[in-house]
Amino acid sequence: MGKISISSGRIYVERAGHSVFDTSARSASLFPDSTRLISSASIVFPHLLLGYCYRTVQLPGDPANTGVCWDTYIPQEWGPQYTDNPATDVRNLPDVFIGSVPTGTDYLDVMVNVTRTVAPHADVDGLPFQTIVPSGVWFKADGGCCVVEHDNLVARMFEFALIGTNVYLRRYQSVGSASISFSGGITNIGNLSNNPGAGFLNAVLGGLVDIRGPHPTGYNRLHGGNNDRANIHNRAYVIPGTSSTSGTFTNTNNYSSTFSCSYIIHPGRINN
Amino acid sequence: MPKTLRATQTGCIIVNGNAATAVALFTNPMLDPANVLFHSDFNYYGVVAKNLSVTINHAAIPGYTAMLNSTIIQGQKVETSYALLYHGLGYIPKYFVSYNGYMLPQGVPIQIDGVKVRYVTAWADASYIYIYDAGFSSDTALAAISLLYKVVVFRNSSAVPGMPMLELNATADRYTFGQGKFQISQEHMRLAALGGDTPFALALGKTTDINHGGVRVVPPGGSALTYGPYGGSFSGSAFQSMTI
Repeated sequence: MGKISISSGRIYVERAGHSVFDTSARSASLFPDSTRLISSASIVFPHLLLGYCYRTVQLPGDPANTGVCWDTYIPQEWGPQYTDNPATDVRNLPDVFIGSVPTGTDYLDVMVNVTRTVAPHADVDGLPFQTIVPSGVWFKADGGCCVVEHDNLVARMFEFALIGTNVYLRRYQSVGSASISFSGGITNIGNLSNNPGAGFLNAVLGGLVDIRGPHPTGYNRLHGGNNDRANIHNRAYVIPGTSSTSGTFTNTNNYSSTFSCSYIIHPGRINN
Repeated sequence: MPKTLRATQTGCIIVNGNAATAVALFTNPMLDPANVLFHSDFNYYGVVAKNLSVTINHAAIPGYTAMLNSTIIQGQKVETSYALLYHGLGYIPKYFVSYNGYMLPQGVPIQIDGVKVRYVTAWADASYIYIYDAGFSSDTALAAISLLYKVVVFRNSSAVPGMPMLELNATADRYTFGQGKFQISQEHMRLAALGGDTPFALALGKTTDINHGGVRVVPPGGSALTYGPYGGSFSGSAFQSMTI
C-alpha cells in the first residue's frame, strides 16, 4: 500500500515503507525528447604511419633469396589533444561538432549502433584489426566513449564529449611498440633507425607487402639462425631467413578504418 | 525551500519554490532545470524489468595455430552473445548492467590472461538484454569463466495514453505524476545518497582511454582494467552512484 505525504518543504511517496519519490532526495532526469541528438556519423580513422621490414626465404619453386616484406606500424598517438609533431609521431585528430544541448546538462546518456564499413588492410595474421564491440546492434556507451578496434598493439576509440553545452565527436588511435622480439641468437636485427644489433624491432609487424618481390633498400631485415623466431606479442611469429635482396616496391596497404555510427544522445541532469 | 506541485490537463510539475516558480517553469522547465524536481516533459529511469543475479557461463576460446606467409599465427577471436534478461518491451530500452560491484561499460577486458583476453559489452534489442563476448586466445585456450551480472531495464519515457497528469488515489493505491512518468507501482533509479553503496552509476565523463597500443577501462565506481602496454595515466572520470 502506498502513501503520499505533502507538507511544506517536502513531497514524499512511499510504497510498503520504501521511498519511491522524495523531493528531499536527489534525482536524475533526462531532458525532454526534443533536446536529444539523434543522427548518424561516419567515423573515419586515418591510415597509420608506417615503416618496413623484410626477410628472405626460398619458397618452393622459387630461386634463392626471394623476399618477403611486411610493413610495420611505428609507435604513434593520434587524438584531439595532440599537435602534429613528426619528430615524435603524434598527430592531431580534430573534434567534429555534433550539436548543442541545453544549459544545465550534467551528463549524456548515449546509445550507439556501430558497423565497420571500411576495414583496414589485413594484418600480419591475414585479418583486419579485430573489433571488440558488437556490430549492428544498439548498446549503451557509458561516458560516451567506445573502443572499436584493438589488435596487434593498435587501438582505436571514439568519444561523444560534452564540452560546455556542445557535443563533439572525438577520435583517438594509438600504436605501441617493442612487440617483435627474438627468442634465439640475434645476429642482425635493426630497429627503425636500422641500427644493427638491437634486440627488437621498435614497431609492430603489419601486413604483408610482397611475398616474392624485392624488399625496400635501407630497411630492416629479420635475420637469425634457423631456430630463431620473431615473436609478435605471442600471437604470431615469423621464422627469419638468412640473406637479403634489395630493390624498390610499391605498398598499397591502407590501414584506415571507417565506422558508421548511429547515435541517440540524451542530455541529462543530476539535481543535487 | 517550499516545494510546489502544479498539474493541469497538459502537464505536471514539482519545483523547488513557490507557485509563481511553478507557473514560470511549467511551460519552459529548461529556464531553470536545477529547480525542477519533476516535469511531465522530462524523462526518468522507471524500472520495468530487473534481475540482480544473472550468472553467465562464458565459454572457453580454443587455442589456435596456423602458418601464413611463413608466419606462424597463434590465437583466434570467437564472438558470442549471451542473453542476460528477457524484457519483451517491443522496443530497444535503456538499461544498466553491473558486474563485480561496479557499472559495466562497453568494451571491458573482463578476463585477462597474458596476451589472452575477453572483452564484454552489454547490448539490447526489442526483446532481450545481452552480453556480447569477444574472446581472444593464443596457441593455448582462454579458459571458460562464470561471471555474475546485475541488470536493470527502464521503460521508454513517453507518457502513457489514458493516464492522468496527476492521480493521488489512496483507495485504489494509485499515485501517478505526468501520465505515468512516475508511478508508485514502478521502481525508479535515483541518485544514491552516498557514492559507492550501489553497483549502478552514471558516468559523467569517458570511461576508457587508449595509449601506446593499450586500453584502460575505469568503470564508474570500479578499479582500472588495463590490457596491453598502456602507457597513459587515465584514472577515470567523475560519476554519480545510482540506486533503486
